[in-house]
Amino acid sequence: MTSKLIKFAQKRCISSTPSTFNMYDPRVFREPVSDVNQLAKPLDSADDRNFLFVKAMKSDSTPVFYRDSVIDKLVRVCTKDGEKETSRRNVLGALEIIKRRQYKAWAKASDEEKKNITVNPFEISRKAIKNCRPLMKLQGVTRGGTTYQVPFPIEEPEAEFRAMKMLRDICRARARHGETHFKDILATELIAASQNEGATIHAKQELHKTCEANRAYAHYRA
Amino acid sequence: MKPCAELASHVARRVAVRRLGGVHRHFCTEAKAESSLSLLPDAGTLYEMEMPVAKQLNMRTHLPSSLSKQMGTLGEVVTLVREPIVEVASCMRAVNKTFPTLRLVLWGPFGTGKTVTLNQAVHHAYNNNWAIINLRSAMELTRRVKEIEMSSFVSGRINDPSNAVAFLQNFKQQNQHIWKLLGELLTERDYEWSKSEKTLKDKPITEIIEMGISAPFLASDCVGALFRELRRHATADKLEVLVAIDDANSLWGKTLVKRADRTYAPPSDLTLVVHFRRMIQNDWMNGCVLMVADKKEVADARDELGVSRYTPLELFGEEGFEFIEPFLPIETTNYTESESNAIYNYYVKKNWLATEAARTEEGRKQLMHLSAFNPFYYERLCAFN
Repeated sequence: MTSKLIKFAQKRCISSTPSTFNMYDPRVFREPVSDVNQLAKPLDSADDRNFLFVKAMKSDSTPVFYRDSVIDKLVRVCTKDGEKETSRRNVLGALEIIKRRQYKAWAKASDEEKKNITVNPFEISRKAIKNCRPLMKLQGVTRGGTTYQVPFPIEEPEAEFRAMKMLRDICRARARHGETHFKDILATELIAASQNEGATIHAKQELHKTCEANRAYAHYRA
Repeated sequence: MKPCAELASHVARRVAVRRLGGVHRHFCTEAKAESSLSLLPDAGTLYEMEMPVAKQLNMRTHLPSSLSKQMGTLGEVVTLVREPIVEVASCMRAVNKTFPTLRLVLWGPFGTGKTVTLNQAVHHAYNNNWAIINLRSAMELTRRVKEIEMSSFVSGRINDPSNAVAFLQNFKQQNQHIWKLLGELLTERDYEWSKSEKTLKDKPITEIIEMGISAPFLASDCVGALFRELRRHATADKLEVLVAIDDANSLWGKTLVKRADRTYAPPSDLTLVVHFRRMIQNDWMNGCVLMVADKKEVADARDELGVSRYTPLELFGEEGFEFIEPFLPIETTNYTESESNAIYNYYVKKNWLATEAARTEEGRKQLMHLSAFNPFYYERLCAFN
């Protein structure tokens, strides 16, 4: 059993050792304070940060009023080749497109219908990502020379990540060869997903179906 | 500085200063009693351009892309009256048949409203029944030339049929409000465009425009003839003309037009550029030439770190600068706090700020400081919040 486990670990993981070098030596560096309200208050006298170094602030933890953890994560997931700025421009551009479409619908609607239309693009994106979250994931497990796609349960952050990844892959495939811009298709997908429609929701349902079909492999979860 | 031009710019300055000081408007109305110009609202207020007018003035293509998008979304064109447009309007008020054309150059850093001011001036000219010669970007004449033809009129000149036709169509569309008046103005002499096509003396000048639109290979020459006639009629006090050229420094910039020997043609070889330069010369009366000095001509679009130049001398170059002198420079600047508040309140009123956080006091302050008071970035930040 143990030899099997070791074999599995060697095959699946790129590196089984923790990172050997950290820019910030954990003995002398501490996390920075990025909350404005907290910054105004003095540090607790027992706080390490009174006499230790503080890490540089992450670029996505600047205290701007439109900070949103889901959007930040989406930016990170959509980043390609380390071009986070480009990715951020794309995602924020998609938010703008969502807002413009919703605003137009809102302006046209009658007073009663207006209550049901959300214009806030952050709210729509959050709802869309929530709707896209899968309940399980499929992971290959090799038993006796054959690899089985085994369904595994997942935690909430991972479900969110997988939702974003599905969304990103679908948008990237559509935006390939300049058919559409990434931000346009991302906006369309997010609006559709917020109403439980669209390709990403479809992909999620497909995944659920495969998980259901591969139910019999569940005992391969080691 | 020629004495006459000196006088003109001096008077315009005085009018501008008086106007800006907010003393009163009597001086201006006195100066031009017979055709009192409709007045702009005071600086710092918002004013709306009616949709049909915006459509006629082709604002969708002439405004910067983010604003033309905004126009489609909000279904209205609302701009802020700021100091540059007030100054331009007061200069336009000083224009009359005894002064040579006033030349104004809008200059300022990126995103501070040069193009918007230019378009506001076009709207102001529309309100006062001026003829409007509006070029969306002079760069189109030098860098976006799709097809070329050698001129039959002057050897060595290069005609640009597609841009010329586009300009004439735009001119026709923007001047529908005075089309009848233009139809009454007659040509000075016979124009022989080709062996078969002619425009005779004492025909309405609108015929020149129609000729150019229907026969692209003549369009470039038609533009020249139209300008010539407009200058003549303006000098004879038949009408006032506003010449509004965006990115005007590109008329002295780089071109991407190749000659037969595969070298790049200088801008002075392009027929349309020559015609527009001729329009900028101040040897005619009753007109106002409004130019924008824009850094797109010299800046590298991919260079995000370099600080580019934006003053008229640096952008027009020595040759261009000497050509346009004397002129009145009008600087566009970043928002002041009250201006950004006016825009903010407008957005709130229109429900354009969709997030709760943006509508709070904290959001208002952050929007202002994150955009560093720059109108372009302010709009960009408001676009997704």
